[in-house]
Amino acid sequence: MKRILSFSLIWLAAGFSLLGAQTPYDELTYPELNSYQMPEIVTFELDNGIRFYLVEDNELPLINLNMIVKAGSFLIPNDKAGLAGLTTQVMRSGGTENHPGEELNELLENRAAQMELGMGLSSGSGSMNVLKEDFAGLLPVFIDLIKNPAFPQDKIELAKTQARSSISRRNDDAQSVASREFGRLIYGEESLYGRLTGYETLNNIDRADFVDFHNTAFTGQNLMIGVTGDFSTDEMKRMLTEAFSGYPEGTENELDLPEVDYTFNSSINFIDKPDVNQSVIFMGHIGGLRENPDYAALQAMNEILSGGFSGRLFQIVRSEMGLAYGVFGNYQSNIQYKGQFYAGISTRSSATAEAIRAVRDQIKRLQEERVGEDELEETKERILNSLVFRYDSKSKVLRERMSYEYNGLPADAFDRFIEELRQVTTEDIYRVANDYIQPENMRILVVGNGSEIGDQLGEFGEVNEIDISIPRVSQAENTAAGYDEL
Amino acid sequence: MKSLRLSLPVILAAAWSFTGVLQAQDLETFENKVTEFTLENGLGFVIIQRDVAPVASFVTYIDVGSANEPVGRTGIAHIFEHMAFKGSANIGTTNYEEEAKVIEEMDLAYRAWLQEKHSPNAEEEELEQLWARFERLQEEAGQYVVNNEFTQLIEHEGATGLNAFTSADATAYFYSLPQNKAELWFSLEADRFRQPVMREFYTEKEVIYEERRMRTDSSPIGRLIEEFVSIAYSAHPYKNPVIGWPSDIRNTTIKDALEFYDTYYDPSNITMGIAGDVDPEEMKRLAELYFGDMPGGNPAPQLMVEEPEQRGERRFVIEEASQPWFMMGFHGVAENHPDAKAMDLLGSILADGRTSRLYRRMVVDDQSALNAGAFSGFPGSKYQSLFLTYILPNQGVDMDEIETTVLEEIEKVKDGEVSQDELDRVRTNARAGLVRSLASNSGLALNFAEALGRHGDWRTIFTELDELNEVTLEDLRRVADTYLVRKNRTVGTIRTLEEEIAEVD
Repeated sequence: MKRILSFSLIWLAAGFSLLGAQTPYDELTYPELNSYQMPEIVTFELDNGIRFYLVEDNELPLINLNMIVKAGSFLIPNDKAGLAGLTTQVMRSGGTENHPGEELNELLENRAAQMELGMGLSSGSGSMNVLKEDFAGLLPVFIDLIKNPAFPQDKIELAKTQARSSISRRNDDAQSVASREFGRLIYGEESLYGRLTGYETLNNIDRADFVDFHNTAFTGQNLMIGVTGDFSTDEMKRMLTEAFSGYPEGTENELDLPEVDYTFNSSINFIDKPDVNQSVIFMGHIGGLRENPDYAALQAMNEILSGGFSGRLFQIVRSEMGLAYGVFGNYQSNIQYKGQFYAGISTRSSATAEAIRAVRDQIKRLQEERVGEDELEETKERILNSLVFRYDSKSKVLRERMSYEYNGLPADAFDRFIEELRQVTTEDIYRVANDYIQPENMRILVVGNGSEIGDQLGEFGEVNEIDISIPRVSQAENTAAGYDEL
Repeated sequence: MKSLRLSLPVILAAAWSFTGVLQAQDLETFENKVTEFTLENGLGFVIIQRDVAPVASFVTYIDVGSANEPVGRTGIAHIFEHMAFKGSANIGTTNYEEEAKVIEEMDLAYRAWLQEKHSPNAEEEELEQLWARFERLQEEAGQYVVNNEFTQLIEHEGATGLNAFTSADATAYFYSLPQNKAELWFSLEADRFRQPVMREFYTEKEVIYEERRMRTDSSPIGRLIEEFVSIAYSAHPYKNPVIGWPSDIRNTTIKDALEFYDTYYDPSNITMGIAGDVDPEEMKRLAELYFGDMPGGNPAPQLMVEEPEQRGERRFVIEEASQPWFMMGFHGVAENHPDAKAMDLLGSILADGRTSRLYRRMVVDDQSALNAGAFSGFPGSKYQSLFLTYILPNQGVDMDEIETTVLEEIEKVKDGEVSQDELDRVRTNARAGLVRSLASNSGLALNFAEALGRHGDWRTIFTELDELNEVTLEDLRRVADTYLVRKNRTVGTIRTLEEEIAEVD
């Protein structure tokens, strides 16, 4: 008996040493991180200007092609606002003479293949996601789609009908009204960055515009194509070279976007939405550019103000004050045109003024007191410790490379940012907060229920009420423009 | 031009390759990558090795959702989920012993206030005093709080994707870490789920009210959905919103939340999923070490409510300023019912992708809709659920026309108009959807934990696809005939108030 007991005791002890002991979180030590091989990106360019970026990834039997198109709605005049997005929509829905839309849909969905096209403000996109066996067969279809769109009239009308329907629905959701209208407050309603697609601009667009814009955008000089997936690079290179060699070269578009015209001032703006019980609040002013030498310090400042669960807005305005579920803030440094500085919150109607003050106080605090050494170190480590996620998939590596080249950023832009971030001091944060932010000169926008909010906004100045009702064209004009009335 | 056409038959001949790939490779491949074990207390683990990058994702899946909530306490599963971010006895406090005492007193004060407030002879003065006492204690408890220390610790180590969700069926907590920091997740997860703290409970309820205002009260579609399920269901708790009814949120106390925890957070009701560049043996050692002594032995009670048969069609209209919506739902089946797969495929045939019936008919052909959707498993899928169709009508389209069209398309299914090609196509896309989801650590960890926790085997992820293969055209016709019938349905719409669309010329 005794022997058995001691035996089991040894066993137990052995079991424990095998398991180790529970370690409190603050005494944990970590083994070295497993090594990681950066994937190699093979690039090449064809005579017609198309640049290719390839990365093999054989985890799944799939191949993904992602394209960036050097074009955007910045090429479209105000009176035809909406044309850029409609063009890619009808390219896809209308298909080509060889592959009309309906037939294309069946061809693709029968094999769970995906082809999509899109056009944003300063870049367009295309993608083809397929099973690897299907790649060779569907690549010519994709090329046909971007090269020879049929733009059938019925699909143009369909796209316009859908666009009109979307316009009629754009004031239904308070959050999207607020972010849209705040952008217009900063950039100007008629500017490229603030304008909206309207019933009238749709009426100004005809088939010839689609054809023209396609010809401007989808030329070889404007295409960058990345491919990841289960293939051999040599074979893929051969296949792409052959398939795209006859693609028209065209001319390259310049990414030259208009400068933002902005004068600092303060205002309090209100949009009444009687069917809500929560105010969506934005406040801020113009932001900056990525090329700013203070970029790293501003990113650190953003993180201190509103990074994850640890940012001040979350900690104080949400957790301590219970004023919001959603609270956010960011000094945007855009690449092609100036971003916005904004902070915001969604809060119950009765707390609207309190919430504005609470968010503004946190912005002011960045200017009034130097951030603590601890808080800055904590913030930097949060970013530095998560760097391993930057390359957690091969397609992410590829996307970053293509995006940097598209935007004219140096290949080591991110590494430089990290180096600069390491050097950022509490003094830097104090300086950039005072140089770039003007809490007394913010434009504030409240989208909420006027009868519940009452006169709370008066303390922020004379309230400017914004009318967001949707201008309609008369029925006669509709008919004149050549489409059936709805 | 012609050569492209010639290649079509070749392409079509290969249309089944997605099926081939999955059946031949996937389950077998995953058998080699997946390690599954259960601790003695019933806590289940599933580890998926994936070494494409030195990172890993971690998921704690609890087999409890809003459907399990006690009467009058809707929203409590979600409230508890929020509290799990407030730390533990060791993290987020300057002195837990003292803090816990004050929290207990604070809760007593709140409960006293609630009682008085709902008493028929409530006295204003008494109420004010009780409230003042509660606020004083809340402030006192707040003095021990180290704000968000728990989440900050996690983010400090480079975590990404830190969050959680509560649904009608389940609750899950997740984040990703550099792979060498797996032990931190074990340590913190054990800390918060072995002895939960109710820190900042009543302030956090304010945050939750705001979440409710944002997602439901101030959103037209949020309002429609809440109304819809509450009308479609009579007895089953699927009728309640996951976030909870406002007065239930108010009436929920710390005592309630802890009781909910005691009832549903037994280790046998919890499954943990880890996917990434980790060593399964090491994960097993850490699992034993940090969770082996978590007390268990109180299996969670099963939900026993059954929805009674519906006696007739239900209808409602919300009149408001926003643009119209149409919703029609039919009582269908739970996910483990033999007809569940046929219902899933039927939803896809009606509304998934550009070749689906409702898309072709309503979006493309007659252009009556901006968008159309149909799917089975609403608002949850664990219990008997709704087969839901929804339409966003285009401008000026009459709601009756929308309804007639949807019903016509359902009739066509009953008349056997669905073709074998359509059925094959949606099956192929279901398989492809699964393959595409296998390339993410967070997706793998959640899906595998859910499959193990809910269905008892992670392999159901793959075997369920095989069940799709058994569905026939006759099954589609039969389930449409059985479930998609008038007395079994609820129709809800948003009708736009006229004065709100007055012309502005």
